[in-house]
Amino acid sequence: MFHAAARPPVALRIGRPVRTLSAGNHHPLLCHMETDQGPAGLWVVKPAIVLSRSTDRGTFGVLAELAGAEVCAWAGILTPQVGITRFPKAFDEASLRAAILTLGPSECDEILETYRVNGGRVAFCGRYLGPATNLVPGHLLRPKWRATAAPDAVALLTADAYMRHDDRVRDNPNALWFENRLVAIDHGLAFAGPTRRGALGDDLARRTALHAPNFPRHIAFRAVRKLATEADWDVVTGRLESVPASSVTALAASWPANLDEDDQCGQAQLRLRMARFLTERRSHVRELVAVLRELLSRGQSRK
Amino acid sequence: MVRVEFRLLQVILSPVSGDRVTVALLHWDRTTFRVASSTAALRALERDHREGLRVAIQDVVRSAERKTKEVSERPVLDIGLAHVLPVREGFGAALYWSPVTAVETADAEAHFAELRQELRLDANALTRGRRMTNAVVYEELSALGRKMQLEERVRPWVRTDYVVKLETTYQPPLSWKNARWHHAVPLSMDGLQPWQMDEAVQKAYGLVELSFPEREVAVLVPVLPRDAELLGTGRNELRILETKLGSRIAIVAPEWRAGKLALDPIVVRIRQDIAHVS
Repeated sequence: MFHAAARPPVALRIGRPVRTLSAGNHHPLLCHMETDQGPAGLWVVKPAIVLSRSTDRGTFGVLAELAGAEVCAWAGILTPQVGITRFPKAFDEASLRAAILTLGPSECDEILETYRVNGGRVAFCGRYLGPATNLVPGHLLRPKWRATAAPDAVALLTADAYMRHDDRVRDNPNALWFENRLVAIDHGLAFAGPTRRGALGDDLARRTALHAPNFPRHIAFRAVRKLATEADWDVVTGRLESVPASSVTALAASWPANLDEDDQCGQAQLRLRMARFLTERRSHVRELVAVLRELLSRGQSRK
Repeated sequence: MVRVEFRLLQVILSPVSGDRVTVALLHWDRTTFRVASSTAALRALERDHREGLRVAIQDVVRSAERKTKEVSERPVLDIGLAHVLPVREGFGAALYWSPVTAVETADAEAHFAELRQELRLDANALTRGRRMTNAVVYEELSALGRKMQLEERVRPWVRTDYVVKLETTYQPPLSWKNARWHHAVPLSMDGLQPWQMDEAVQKAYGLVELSFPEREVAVLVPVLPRDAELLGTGRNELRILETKLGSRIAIVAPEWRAGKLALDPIVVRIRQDIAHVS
């Protein structure tokens, strides 16, 4: 159900789309998926080409999702199991329409159009966690859950600084509460920078100033300020620092080769850039943590 | 006729079948914002998921209730419910906001009441669902003491910082003097199962035995269960305590009024006692 570090993405095939998940900006599809062995349950399929918003991320978004899940696993944060699928190059529109007949006409049209524009393209898949709810600060601050919530909150804030991810605020937490644990989702906008012309990856990894001003609005910020202990910071720092370089290499090798180039952003060698970023970033965890703690203490003194 | 808008907060039971249960209702009639909620329907879910959902629903309902208060104090420009309380719409995690529905009605309040009944939502269900713990009663008694101390005539006889000590120490939330010192001791049995009530009473017994010198009186402030079926058990537990501790304790029970605990009987008791000494 959850992603484990170094585990390659599951190869999946779309069985039947169930509906669009329209609560966020991405509008992924909720689908019954299949593996070679048989039905694989419900998964959230995030196509590379998104109709619901304008983005130049394209297949880099898929790469960011895969790498984001890995960073979460390194930091000790739960994140749904990851998979990869490919939209069929050609599909029978009539039978697809029949499979989603119970949905409203606009949702049907959106699904059909998603299939058309993503035909033959790779898409990221995350295991669907049914009864999970969006994370609210109350989950993290509730005394009975603090034993896990406090270290999870510290790990989440640190992991987001680590992967240059600023898309996890109160209104759009991109984190769930599932069986009384924090679960991080949606890393399509993480790793800001590698798609820029001339970016190498390791150059970005050396930047330890927070790349976005909205970290004080991070969903875990208040809980971290209130609950974080020295031990929580030590644990997450240790976890991220101790990732061996060979793990990063193996990880990059597990990503599909066609994620290397992206016709959306027009950049090549994206896997290499990401691998360079992840390899170099490990040496800067302490600086990142110091920056975060400085920001947290500033918030406190203003209060 | 008044144009009203409403939307429902629902828990998705199955994304495949589309089954959902309604846990809250927002209702807007261009001047008044109303909220109703109930988490009773969460029983349909597994225990492990219920509490996390309840916390998320409470978060939504509290923010809606704050908005209700805000709108009543400072009217807002009406450009629709979606503007008065913006929410993240759409199908995502387990909570789902239905689209805004607009209708015309002659009586907005009655329309809200009807919807609430139809949807089996009780306006104060979340608040009433929370148990009144000893800690809450302690805080309320302590606040009452601080308020009474503002009265000059009462001040010399009422304290909130008294510490009783025998084998162990205890700081009562509220103490007053009537020849002997009297100390309030919260004893909440609200929301407890019979075996838990038994434990709570044993704790109170131990507290009086171990902390209260014989000359001082522990005035138990019991909060009886709101569940009618458990009320008898609660009363019975109190009788046992009264029999065991005799004149070392007095019992002054507050009353439930409209879902809130009214401490008037304690105030009356303190005033009578103080009048007696002064």
